[in-house]
Amino acid sequence: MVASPIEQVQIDPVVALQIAKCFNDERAQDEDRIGQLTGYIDRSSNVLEVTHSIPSPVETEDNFDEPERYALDYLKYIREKGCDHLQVGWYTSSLNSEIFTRSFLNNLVSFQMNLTESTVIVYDPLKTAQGHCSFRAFRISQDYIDMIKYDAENDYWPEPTLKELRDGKISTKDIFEEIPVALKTSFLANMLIYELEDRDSFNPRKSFLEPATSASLEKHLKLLDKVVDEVVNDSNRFNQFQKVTGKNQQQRQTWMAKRRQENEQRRANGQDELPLDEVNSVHKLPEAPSRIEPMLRSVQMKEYTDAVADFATKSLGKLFITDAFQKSS
Amino acid sequence: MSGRAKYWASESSSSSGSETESEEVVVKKVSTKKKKVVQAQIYTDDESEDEGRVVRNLKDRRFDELSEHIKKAQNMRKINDFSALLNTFKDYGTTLNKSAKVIEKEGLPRFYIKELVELDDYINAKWEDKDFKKKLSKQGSKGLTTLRQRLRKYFTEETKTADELAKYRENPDASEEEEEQASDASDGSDASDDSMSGTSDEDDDDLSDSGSDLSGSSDDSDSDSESDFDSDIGDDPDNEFARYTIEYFLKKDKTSSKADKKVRRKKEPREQKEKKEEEDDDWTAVDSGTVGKGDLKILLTGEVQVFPKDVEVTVKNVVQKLAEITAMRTPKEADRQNKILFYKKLREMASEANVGYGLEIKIRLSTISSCYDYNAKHKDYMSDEAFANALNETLELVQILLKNESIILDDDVQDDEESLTDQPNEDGKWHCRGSLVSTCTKLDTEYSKLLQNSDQHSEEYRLRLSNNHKIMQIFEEATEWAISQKKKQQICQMYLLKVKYIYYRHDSQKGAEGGQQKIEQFCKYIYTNDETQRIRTQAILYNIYNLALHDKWFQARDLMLMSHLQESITNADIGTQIIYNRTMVQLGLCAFRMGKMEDAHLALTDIQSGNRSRELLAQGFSMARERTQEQEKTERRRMQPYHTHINTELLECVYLVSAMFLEIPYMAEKEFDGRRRMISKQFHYQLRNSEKQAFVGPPDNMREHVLAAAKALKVGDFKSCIKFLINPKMNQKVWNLFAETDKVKDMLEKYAKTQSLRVYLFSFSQFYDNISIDWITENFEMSSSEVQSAVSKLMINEELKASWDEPSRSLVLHKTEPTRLQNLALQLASRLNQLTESNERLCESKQGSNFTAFYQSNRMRDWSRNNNRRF
Repeated sequence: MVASPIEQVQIDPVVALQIAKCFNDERAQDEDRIGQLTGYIDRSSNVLEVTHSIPSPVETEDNFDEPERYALDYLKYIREKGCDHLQVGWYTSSLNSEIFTRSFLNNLVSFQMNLTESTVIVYDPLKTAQGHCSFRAFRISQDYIDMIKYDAENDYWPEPTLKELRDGKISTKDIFEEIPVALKTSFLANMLIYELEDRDSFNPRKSFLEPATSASLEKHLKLLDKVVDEVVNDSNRFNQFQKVTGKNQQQRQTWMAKRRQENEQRRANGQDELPLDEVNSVHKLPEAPSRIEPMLRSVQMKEYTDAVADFATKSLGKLFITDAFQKSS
Repeated sequence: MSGRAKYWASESSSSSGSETESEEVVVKKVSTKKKKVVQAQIYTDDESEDEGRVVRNLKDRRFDELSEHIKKAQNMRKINDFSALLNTFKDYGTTLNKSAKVIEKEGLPRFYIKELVELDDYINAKWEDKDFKKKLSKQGSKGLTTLRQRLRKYFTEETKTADELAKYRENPDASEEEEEQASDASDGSDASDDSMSGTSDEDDDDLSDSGSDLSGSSDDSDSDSESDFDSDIGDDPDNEFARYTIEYFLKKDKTSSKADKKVRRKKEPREQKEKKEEEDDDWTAVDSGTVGKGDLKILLTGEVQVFPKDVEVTVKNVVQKLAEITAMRTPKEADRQNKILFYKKLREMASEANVGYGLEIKIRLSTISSCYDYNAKHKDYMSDEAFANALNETLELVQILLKNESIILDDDVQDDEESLTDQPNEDGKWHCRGSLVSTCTKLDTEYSKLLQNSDQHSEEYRLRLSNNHKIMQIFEEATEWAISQKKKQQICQMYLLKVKYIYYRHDSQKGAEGGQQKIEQFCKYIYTNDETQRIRTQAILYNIYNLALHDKWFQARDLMLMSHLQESITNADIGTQIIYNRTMVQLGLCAFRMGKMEDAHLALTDIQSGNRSRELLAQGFSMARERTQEQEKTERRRMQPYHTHINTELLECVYLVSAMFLEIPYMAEKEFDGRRRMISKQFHYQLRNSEKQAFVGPPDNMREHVLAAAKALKVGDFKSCIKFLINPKMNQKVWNLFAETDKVKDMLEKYAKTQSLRVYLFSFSQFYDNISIDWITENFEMSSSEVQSAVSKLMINEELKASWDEPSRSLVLHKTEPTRLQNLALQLASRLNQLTESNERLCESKQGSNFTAFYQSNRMRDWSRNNNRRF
């Protein structure tokens, strides 16, 4: 299916509120909540409109298949109501921009395999609470999707190997793509907002100049430290792998040379030649460490640094404003 | 002997049933039924005797049997074999029972009574001799006890015998006439019996007799009993028993034990005469040129015979004899002792015959080596007597060598160069092969074995240790000799041996004065003249040890560093490694005494970590490791003699204290540092263990004292720290072991004060803005200059962020604790540094090392710049 990719995700305010409600719940802190999104694709402008969300019930041990049935039932009902029932993705939340995990990737892959236009919407309740309403949409790049092969027998998509990644020239930044998100409110709602703004106008008494990012900055630094540590480990592991590979190559070469010599002699004696591919059984190639995980970590690291940079710029901006205030007063 | 005993025993048993009524026995008939061996024996007898039948009287037979047992018992007594003696005593009983009829008729035989008296005396004497009893083996002492009891019982039960005994005791010579008569009557049959006993096994008897005799006489403990036994014989030569023994002694007369026995034969005098001649031929007809094999014997009188009486002692004979003695196989202890006696006798005779120094030295060397000859399987060290023997022999050898400069004793002398004649070689010198140095070395090893195998706290150990002086004398003289011979290597070896005996002694000890200079002199000689690595290494180590012992820390340390032994010691043999360990430990102790805790800790860490100090210093075994018997034996052989031991408790204490003084301030300094490492694992372990305890009682042992001190130090409480370190208990256990106790204690006190000040400043400076110097001096009992120097040192090392405010005489502290965020950022920075490093390694493996070199140097510069700018 060759179609131009989605350029924008448009979220209905109802959906946004539904998602926010889902995660602003008290229990949301310690539960991993997700939900499904329905909507339709506007081919003319390549916009994905999300019009409904279905929160998945919390999975427990006794209702193992319930969420799925629930989602199906739900879809059936809204179809009967004449609403959009096309599953266009799912939503999840992230505290402190901790998103890019392996399960996140796998989920997204399976969605996108069903419907190429599927996306994931990530909501950050912490940021939202601080006043920055945060909805972000991601999808997996087409290159990555093209690279992985479907394993029909086991019904899953195996992780790409190191070699595949190298051949596909996929680098860290080529896995995920972020799609701009737009909130489109109805005119009626807009009017209400204006109305509300008028009533409760901007309150300068609020300490809006306070940087107030110290806590999350600390948190981010800690997380960053952790992920860097992991990357260091990955790097070491990789280093080890390279050493072993180098050694293995050498062994293989000496083995091959010996075998060739032997073969030459055999040829001279009129005997059958010995196969050369036995080398694989004699000197097995070392197993390469998983590549995708370090890549995901790198993505995550980038995410953290971006967040830190974001905090920093905002704080710096505020500092400049303060400076200006001081000078003027 | 045993064959014969068996013969008698079996004969009596087979004959007792059928022949008691007929008084005569036909031996010939009986003997044909006997085993082959016995047959053969009898056959030879027959041959020599020309007689078909021997007719003997029952009484004689019984009494012979009895006297046989008695003879055996006498031998047993000489070698103190109590269990065997007990058996023989039982045999008396059975024989007496059998001959009850005869005794009824004749009364108890005189010789038996005499034997009982002697036995009684002997047992009593042994019983009184406490020393002897202590030395006895378990079996032996058991035998002695039972034998004594049996004897007592026997005397009380058999009152008649006891009466006889008393009578005998009163007048040993009484009734000898009648006995004489009785014996005369029996003589006739006796004679035939004697010849019956045969000559073929007489030789063996003699040998074992002499063997036991010898071991008996060498044992001083029973010499008294033996001597009175001898005098008894002298007193009443005519009694029945004496006839059997004394005539042996008297008539054997250095040629043969048997030939003369036949003098007494009255029956068949003709044959007897023939026999005598025959025998005489056997024993005296010795070719004067060659010496027969059978000449070596020790007579029961204690005379040692090497040559037949009338043989001229010539060089050739002596050489041959020496070879013969050397070739002797000596399976038994007694035989080995004999060998030494033979050697001695040979030497005496040789020197009488003046066969020349060459031979004499050779004989002496053989003697010494046979002194060291003991059964390694049976026990792995020599007896005290043998050692004393060896010591004397070596001393004499050395003295001869010193006196006669014309003797050359060298390993390189060839066989044909040896001066085995009564003339020196052409160059006017006596050449002899052998090595005095190796003799001395052997003496040294045997000596240490002797020490290893005695209990360190016993009198025995002290006695053995008293040989030290004599050994030193030998070494002294041997060294003199080596110097006169101008053999550098040998001088080095001798010096090393001497150093080995003095290096561990402090000059202040009695008898060790001037040891330092001596060691200095010897070691210097060895450094310049030694050609083997081993001697030099050991000399260096001994030298360092001695220097460290005398608190010459810098000299000792420099020597250790200059020798580069620390790098190469793992390649050395185990003996040298042990010396190295000992030296390092001594160095550590020295550093501690000088107040250099870091050095002390460093030197002791290797030995103290892993709880193997005793094993590493060769002062004992570690229990944990499994080892085979063989390993254990070799390990035992490496043990250091007790008087050179280094007290392990002192070691541990010094180690713990030095670790405490390093660790506690460090812990205080880096309290919040995530990357804090441990300085001493062992100390940490102990500290953790004691902190785990819910209730800590007052300290009892050394370790608890140190830990309590550590805890006091942790809060900067120097007073209780010192109190825990220096108190009567610790003084007694540890500190008094140092030569200069007070100096060490002063040092400790001072050190404790400075360290607790450091700890205090590290731990509590955050609560102060400034501290007055006066307050510090007052609270830490230090002078203000001491405080200044201690605190300034901290500032210079950037351990404490503070500065002096001179006008107000106070210490101003700067607050420099980074915020949490800053800490995190620092952590992240270091982590990132790691990441780049590992990334570079990755690149390197791909691109080769040159790729990153330039980049790296740039980066490092940036990094350091960033670091400086951090705050």
